[in-house]
Amino acid sequence: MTAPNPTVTLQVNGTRVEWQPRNGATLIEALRDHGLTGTKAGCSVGECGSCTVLVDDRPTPACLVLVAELDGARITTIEDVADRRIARMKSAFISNGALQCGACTPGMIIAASRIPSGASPEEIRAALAGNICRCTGYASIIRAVQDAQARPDA
Amino acid sequence: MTEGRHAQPPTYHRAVSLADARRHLGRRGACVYAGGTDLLVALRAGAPWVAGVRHLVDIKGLDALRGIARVGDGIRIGSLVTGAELATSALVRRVAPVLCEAAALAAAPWVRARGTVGGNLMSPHPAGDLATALLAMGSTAEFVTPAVLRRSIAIQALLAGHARIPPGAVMTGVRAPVAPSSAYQRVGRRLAFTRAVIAVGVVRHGAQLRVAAAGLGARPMLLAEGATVPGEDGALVDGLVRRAIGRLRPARGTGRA
Repeated sequence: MTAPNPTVTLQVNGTRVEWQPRNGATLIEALRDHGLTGTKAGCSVGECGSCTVLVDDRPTPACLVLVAELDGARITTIEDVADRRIARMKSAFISNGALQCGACTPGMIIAASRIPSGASPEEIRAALAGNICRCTGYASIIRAVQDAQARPDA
Repeated sequence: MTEGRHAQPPTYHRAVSLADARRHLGRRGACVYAGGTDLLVALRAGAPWVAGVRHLVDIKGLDALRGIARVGDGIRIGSLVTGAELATSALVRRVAPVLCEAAALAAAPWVRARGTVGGNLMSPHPAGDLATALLAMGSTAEFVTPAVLRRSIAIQALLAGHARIPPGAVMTGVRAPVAPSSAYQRVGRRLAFTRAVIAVGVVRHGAQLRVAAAGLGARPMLLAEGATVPGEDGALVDGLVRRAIGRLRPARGTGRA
């Protein structure tokens, strides 16, 4: 038998939590196990980007990180209401119709929220190359990112 | 991992020093864990190469395994250097464009930010872009073993499966001669995160060429070494890569899983 993992202390959307990860548990599994189901598990192998969250403010596929390695980390998910860049991106996605089925949207918004402002459409496309959308054809997503970046306080 | 996919999910250990890593790696079923972009996927899928893994030894905290530096006539790259670091390094762009271009094409942005040089060489990936570029450069991987011995292994032997790596060894870095005249290209189904159908890296030293390719077999392979080319034209290497890709045909079944 293998030994259990030690407890990890995390900041999840600004709240301090202590989790006892199951051996081999990935961040996406733990988030959803703890009721944070806004983040969607897609391919589970890092290809689709639907489970993208911020780990210490960096977009990260939550299926490619073990909870056990995150002791002390700051996790931000689509449920976060305090992050202004995420809030602005949510609003721009809605007003630009940048979602249809919505499966990719939480990860897409998280990833898009960390694209440096002033990015060209090509730079936005390159930055979102790891986030797959099967509905929109991406045009409305690129527009939404540009719109969010043009809004005041960006 | 979801229950049932991996019979005994591995225990996680964070190494605080190289000595600590070697201690953890002395256990039966211990495996180095770094970026995790291949290893976690393999564990989830129950891939044969991770069947015996019981302990993951996380070496990401070991700063001695980071950094890119010019050393003599070559370049040294720490085993924890990520694809994103290689793709954006001004030094790598100048002295090894083949590696810079390969890194910029590898996987997708968030995966490049995690996946490491060491992982790309050590996981049995058939079309690792970093591995292919490093093979074209004639690189050597450096390991430390649990017995605190240092070993250097040519990447050609490593990728061909000819190298005997002691259990518990940790790759500390990669050394390669500089390759200012070099290029990398790949043909894939789409830009982000598809394994290359075919990828080719070419390095020219004077009139001598080294050509490595991915997508032709189980691992990247060296296609030509010491082939001679006339002239000194800087655009020549890029043209050779294009011509090489035009002539190659992918192996069956390796295009995309």
